[in-house]
Amino acid sequence: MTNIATAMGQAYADSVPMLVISSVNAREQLGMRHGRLHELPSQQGLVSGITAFSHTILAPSQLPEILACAFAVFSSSRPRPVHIEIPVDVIVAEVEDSEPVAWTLPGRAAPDASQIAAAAGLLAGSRRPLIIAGGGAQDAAAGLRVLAERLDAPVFMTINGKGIVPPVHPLRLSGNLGMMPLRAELAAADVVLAIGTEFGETEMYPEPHPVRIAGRLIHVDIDPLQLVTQFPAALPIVADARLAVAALLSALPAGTSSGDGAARAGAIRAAVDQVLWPACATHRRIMEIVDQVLPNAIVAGDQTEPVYCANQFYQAARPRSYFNSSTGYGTLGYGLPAAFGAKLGAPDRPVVSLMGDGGIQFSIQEIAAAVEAGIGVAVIVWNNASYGEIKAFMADRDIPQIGVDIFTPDFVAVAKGLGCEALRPDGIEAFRIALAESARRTVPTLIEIAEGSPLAQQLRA
Amino acid sequence: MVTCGEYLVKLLEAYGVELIFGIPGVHTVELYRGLPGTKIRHVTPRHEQGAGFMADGYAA
Repeated sequence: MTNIATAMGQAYADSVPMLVISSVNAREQLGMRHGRLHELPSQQGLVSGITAFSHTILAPSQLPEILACAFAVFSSSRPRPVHIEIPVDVIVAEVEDSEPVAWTLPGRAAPDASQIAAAAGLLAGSRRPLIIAGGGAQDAAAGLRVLAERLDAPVFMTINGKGIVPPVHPLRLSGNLGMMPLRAELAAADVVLAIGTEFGETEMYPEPHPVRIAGRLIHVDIDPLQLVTQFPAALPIVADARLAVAALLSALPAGTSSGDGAARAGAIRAAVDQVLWPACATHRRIMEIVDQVLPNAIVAGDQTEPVYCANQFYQAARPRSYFNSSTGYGTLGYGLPAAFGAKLGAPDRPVVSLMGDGGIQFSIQEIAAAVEAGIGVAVIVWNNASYGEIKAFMADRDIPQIGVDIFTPDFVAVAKGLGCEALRPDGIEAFRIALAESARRTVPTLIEIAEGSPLAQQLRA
Repeated sequence: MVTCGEYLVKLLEAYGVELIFGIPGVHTVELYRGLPGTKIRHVTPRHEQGAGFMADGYAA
C-alpha cells in the first residue's frame, strides 16, 4: 500500500480520479501487532489523508454502496483518489451471485442563479476583464472560448488548463502568474473570472509570488473549500465549470465587449517572451519539432528542465494534452509511467514523455511493463548528468552542490535491455525521424538528448 | 454463490471499468480469480508507484 502512496499524493493534488483497491489483513487481525505480512498499525488511517475517502469493507454487503460512493466522487465532485480496502477474509467471503448493477450516479452541481446574475453584472460592467482557466475548467473549453470572445477578455491558462483556448487565439495569454507582465495584469484588471484553479505556487516556477488580485474576483470551483483558500472572492460560486460557463453565457448579452482584449493579450505575450529563461530557446525548439512531427500529441512530463521551460511557453492544441508532475504535489519518476497510461487511454493519439536523467531513474523499469503491454510512446530524456534544477537552486543559495552530480547509466543500453528502441540522434533531422518512427512502434522509443551534445547545440542555435 | 472478490470485478465492469493496473500479491490473488470472466484488461507495472502513475496518466 505504501508503494502507491506517492502516486496517490500526486493525483490528490492534481484532482485526478483514481480508484485504489487493496487488501488488508483479516478483520480479527487488524491492529493486533502480530507481525503479519503487510501489517500496519492502520493502513486505512495511513492512506486516508491522500484520498477523497478511504473505506474498509467490513462485510461484503457494503461493497455495492461503497463503490457507488467512489464513482459519485468521480462523476460529481472534485475528482481525487478513493481507496477501498478489503480484508483478506472478506475477499473470499461468499455472496449471492446476483446481477451486478451500477447505481445511477448524481449529476454535476449547477451554479446559484442569483450569483450568476451578479457575476454577469460585474462582467458586463467591466472595462478590463481577465479570465483565468485552470485544470478544473478543461471540460468548459468550448463555452469559455465563446465567453472570452463575448467579453473580449484575455485568457490565462494554468499548466493543467493549457489547450482550453487554442494556440492561435488572439485572446490567449502565455507565461505564468508569477511573471511581472501577468502580475501587472492581475493588478490592473477590474474583474477577474477564475475557474477551476487553486492558484498553486507550482504554477509559477521558477519564481512563485503571492497572487494579488486588485479587482473583483469571481471564483468558480466544484470544491467549496477551494473558494475560501488564499484570499476571499467577491463572488465564490460552487459549481461545475461547464454548467457555470453556460449559465454566464445565458446571462450575458452579446456585444458585452471591453474592446481591447486582443491588444492587451498581444502586449502581455510579447512582454512574457522577454522574461523567459534562456534555456527556453532549446526546449521551445524541441516542442516545435514535437508539434510538427507528432501533431495532436499528448505530452506527459516529469520535473525536469524541458518541462519547467515548456510550462512557461508551450501551448497545447486542445485540453487534456499537457500535464506533468511539476504541478501539485511534485514527484520525480511520474512522466514515464504517466505517458504509458495516457497512451492506453488515448491509443489513437501520439504520446510524448518528457523526462530528465534524474527523474527517469525513479521509474525506468516501467519500460519493461510498456514493452509487455505494447505501448508505443516517444520518451525524450534530457540528460545533464545531474539533478540539475536542484543543483542550480543550491548554487543560487550558495550551498555546496553535494549529491546532485549523479552517475547516469548508458540510457540507450539500459532501454534496449528493457526491450524498447533507443537512440541518440546526432542532429535535428535524425531527431525528427526518431520521433516519426516512434509513433509507428508498439514499444517505447527512448530518445536521449545530452546537454552539450551536437543535437543540443543545434537545438539552441 | 461467488466470492466478494469475484463480485467486485463484475461490479467494476458494470461501472464501465475497462483497465486495471496491478501487481498480484499473496494478499490480493483472490481479487484476480474473477477477472477472466470480465472484459477488463489488466496491465502489470513493475512497481505499485508505476501502477498509480499509469492510472493517473490514463485518467488525466
